[in-house]
Amino acid sequence: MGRFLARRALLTIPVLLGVSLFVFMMVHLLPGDPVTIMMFGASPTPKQVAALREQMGLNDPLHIQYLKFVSKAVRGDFGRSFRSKHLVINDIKDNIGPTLALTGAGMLVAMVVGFALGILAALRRNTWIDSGSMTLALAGVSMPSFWLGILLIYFFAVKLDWFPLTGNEGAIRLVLPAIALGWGYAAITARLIRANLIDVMGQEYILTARSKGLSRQSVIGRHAMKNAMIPVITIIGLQFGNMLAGAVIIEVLFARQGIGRLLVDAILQRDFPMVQAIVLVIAVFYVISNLLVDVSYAFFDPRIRYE
Amino acid sequence: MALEPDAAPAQRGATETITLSKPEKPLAEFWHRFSANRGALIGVFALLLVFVLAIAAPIVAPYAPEKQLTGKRLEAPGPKHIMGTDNFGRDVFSRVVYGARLTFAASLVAIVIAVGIGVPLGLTAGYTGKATDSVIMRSMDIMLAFPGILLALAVVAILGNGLVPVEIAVGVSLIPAYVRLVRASVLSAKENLYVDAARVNGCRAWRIATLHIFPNVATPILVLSTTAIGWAVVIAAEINFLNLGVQPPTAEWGADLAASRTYLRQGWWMGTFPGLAIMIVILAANLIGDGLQEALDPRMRGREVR
Repeated sequence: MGRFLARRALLTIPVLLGVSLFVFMMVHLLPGDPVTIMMFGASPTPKQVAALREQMGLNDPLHIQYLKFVSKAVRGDFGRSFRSKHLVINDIKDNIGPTLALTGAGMLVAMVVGFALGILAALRRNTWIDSGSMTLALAGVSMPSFWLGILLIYFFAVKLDWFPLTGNEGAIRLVLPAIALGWGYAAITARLIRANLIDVMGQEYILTARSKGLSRQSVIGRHAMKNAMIPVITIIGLQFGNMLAGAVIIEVLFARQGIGRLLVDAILQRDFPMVQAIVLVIAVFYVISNLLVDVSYAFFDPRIRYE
Repeated sequence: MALEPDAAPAQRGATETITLSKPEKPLAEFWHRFSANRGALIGVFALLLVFVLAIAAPIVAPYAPEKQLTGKRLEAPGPKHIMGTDNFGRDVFSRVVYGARLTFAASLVAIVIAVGIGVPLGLTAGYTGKATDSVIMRSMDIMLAFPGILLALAVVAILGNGLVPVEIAVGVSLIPAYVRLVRASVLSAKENLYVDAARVNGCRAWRIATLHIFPNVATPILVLSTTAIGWAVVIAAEINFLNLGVQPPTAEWGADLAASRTYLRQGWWMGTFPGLAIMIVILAANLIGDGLQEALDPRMRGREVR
């Protein structure tokens, strides 16, 4: 197990380096000079431009610039925002909490709804409960989060007035955004759990367990669920990263504070240090959550360790 | 020789007696299976309908999509405006119909970009193997380290606003899916005896890859591309929803949906119809994808079609 862990962890290093290289190159792939973008409409003298270039380190060779970028980034130094002139890292620190809360709440929705629908559908296979749950799941998969979000706002905030329209404070304002974010993933989870559970229920060891005289409940709970869960863990882990990115849309829609909204504002204002930092942070979260998925996978399925 | 084309190599030696009855008319059998799936047929019908509407937009739409009708702001759906009018007095139905054009254009261009770059890369990685394979697949790992919409947003951040950046952004974000799929299919197709035979006969690598291996990969690409229509529509609509894509007054479903947020109280119809349109296209793509998967999955063969 230890060797597997070490090897898997080492494999993420080149990926992280590649990610940082892409993020670093963003500024250099831009059409136009970063300095002009930074000055944003002002017309600086050539002397000012030269001074800024020197200050931003743009005169160094590209590989030196990249090394500096990485060594600063690992220390959390992403420079100052082009627009607010704040330290980028402080803005991210102030905004990442609400984003993680939203992502966590979205995961909760995805898991609770996904498990309930999936198990229900599998156990009542080929009944109206099954087809009803799966229709609901298909609708969820086909419904972009922002469209579901608008529907939720319209019915539950505007018409029924059960929830506040937008904003940040309190758990109550997390309900609608979390449903909008999590529902699509709940649908994916439900479809997966149903398929796995049906597959596992057809296995011979289930028949053996049943013929030993075990009750249906204990067979499902003790034998079937455990084995059906393994592929589900992967999906749930991958969903965390995707939801973190999906939070961008939900934060804009519900006018919530968070790094997603910060990212969209930064793209609109061409605030590149901010864009780079947020893209990097979300990608790093995603890579690490994938690593944790692989590790837990090996924990649940010992065969993987020996591959 | 009675070996199934995609039989695993391990099975070859083990059971010499696998006799294979190839379907007489593969296309007819495929259609028989596919058309037995009612959902998939509905999906095809819905997608074709939206496609025809998009092409025929100038004939179908009663008004120009950007035409502001004076004194007709936020009119509810009625006989004159079947989907009502928006906050500028523009006909929502006309905007939805014209928006379909952008949606199809964006997703088709994106898929062409993804197929055009992803398929050759996947073929190369799978066929040549070794160092080239490693380089390509590690680059894909890096692209896959950006979840969902994030890669598209990064591309938009670099290229700026507009329809073309959105198309490129969506296309780029779809590339890794194609590379992985094609590579995996090539790896299994490479094991076929006729590939060895071609090599023995002195075929060049690119000829083997394009003539003998590519046909095996074509079907999975088709299946992925139908599903990818759904993804492309979502990503494009998301970028436009965030106002990072096409600029007003262009009619686009995601952008129109974003604009409708402010008028939820006064006019539910403003956002409802673009939203429904997006959902119908994605649902159709998913239904067709499921249907194709079922009709083409070898494991489903031999089972009775209900």
